[in-house]
Parts: sequence; structure tokens; C-alpha cells
Amino acid sequence: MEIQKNIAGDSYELLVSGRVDGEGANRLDEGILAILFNKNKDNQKEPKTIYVNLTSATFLCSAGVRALMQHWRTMRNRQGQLLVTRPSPEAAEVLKMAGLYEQLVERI
Amino acid sequence: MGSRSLPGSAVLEIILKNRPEEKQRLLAALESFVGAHQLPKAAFQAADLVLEEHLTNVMSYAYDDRREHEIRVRLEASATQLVIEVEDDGRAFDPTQAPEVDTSLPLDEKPIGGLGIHFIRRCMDEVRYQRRANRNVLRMIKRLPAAAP
Repeated sequence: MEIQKNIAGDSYELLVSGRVDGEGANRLDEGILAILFNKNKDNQKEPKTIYVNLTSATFLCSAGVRALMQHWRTMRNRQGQLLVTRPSPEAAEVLKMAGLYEQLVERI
Repeated sequence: MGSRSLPGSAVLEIILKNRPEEKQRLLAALESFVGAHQLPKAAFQAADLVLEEHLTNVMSYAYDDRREHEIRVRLEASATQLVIEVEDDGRAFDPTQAPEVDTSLPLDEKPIGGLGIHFIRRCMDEVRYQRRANRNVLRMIKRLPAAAP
């Protein structure tokens, strides 16, 4: 799994590609934590919105869903938001099974 | 995918060590098995997800020691169903008895745990557990749609 980060002001986007399995979920978790707690590094602004783009995620398991849920709550407590964008069919199916699609996925 | 070439049934059996990286070896074997027998993509995705979830649970929570253990995974595909059996020698645990997850709760009230077993229940048509000779045996069945003529 690979993660690419894009920053625009206080909006952060993580482009996730490949399998978000147990190991991938750990890396996703670390990627989000790096945004949450490294805000002053390289003059980065405090994140207001984190977008997790799952277009190229070929697989998503419960550990990945757990990371998304935990950080959705963290961002909500900070008066910000975390949204999943453009989930692949595989990721969308898992989010629907978890009953999270409507609440986590950005409406376009 | 086209019609399946399964006059009887096809079997894949693989023994894994209780190390997370072993799941990559299983995934490669699963991909080959599904491709060779032209199983539907939905069956592959379901098998991939339930094996990831169940094996993660076994490797993370089943063992009280740090020794190496073997986990036997067996897949049997016929024209009508895919049967997945996972056998481990960890402590007794029946996932079919785990409480249901209420997926209708709003996100801030939803419990964080329990989704793996929820996915197994949702992806499979049957899930049965047995404790046999001090081993956990989880048998999961996915019914397959009729193949195109």
C-alpha cells in the first residue's frame, strides 16, 4: 500500500493506493497521525479537513475502517472533519457493510 | 467471468505460520485458485476479506505463548459454492457467538470493535464453528451464482 499526501492550506488529502489490510491500516493510521500531530513542521497549518481518497484502494478491512472511525472522532473533537472521497467499489462495499458510507463518504 | 470448469470440486489447502506476512502467501494462492477455476470476482473479494479478518483475529488473540503455530486453511470450490475452512490450535473461541454490531448507530456512538466478525457474517451465507481435538475450526460457505452456459 502507498500513501501520497497533498496539502492545500488547512486541507489535507491522503491518496491511498493498494491494499488497506492489517499492515496497510497501520500505515494509514500513521499517515493521519502525522497530519494531526506535526502541524508546525514545514509551516503546516492545523488541519481543518482531512480527505482520505480511496479511489485506488483495492481492498479495505476492518482495521482500516477502525482507523477511519477513530480519526473521524478526533477531527470532530477538534471542530474539523475527516471524509473519505471517491472510494473504489471494493472500499465502498466495505463501508456500506459497516453502515458508515453515508456518514464518512463525501457527497459530490 | 465465464463459465466455471468444475466438474466435481477443486481443493486448495495451505498451512500458514502464525505470522502476519504469511497472509501474503495465502493471498497469492487464493488469486491463483480463483483464476484457475474461474470463480466470480465477488466470491474472491468475499474470501479475501473473511480470511484477512479471521486470520488477523487468530494471529492476534488466539495464542497465549510466543511459539510458532500452524494454521490450516482449506478452500473447496464446486459449481454451487465455495467452502472456506480455517483450523487453528489457539485457545477456544467461537466467533459465531460474538454479539451483533449495530451498524445503524451514528458514527460517534458506534463501537470501534467487532466489525471483522460482522464482515464475515455479511460476506458469507453460512458460518459454523466447531471445537475439535483442541482446535478451532471455522467453516464458512459462500454460495455461487449459476455459471453462464
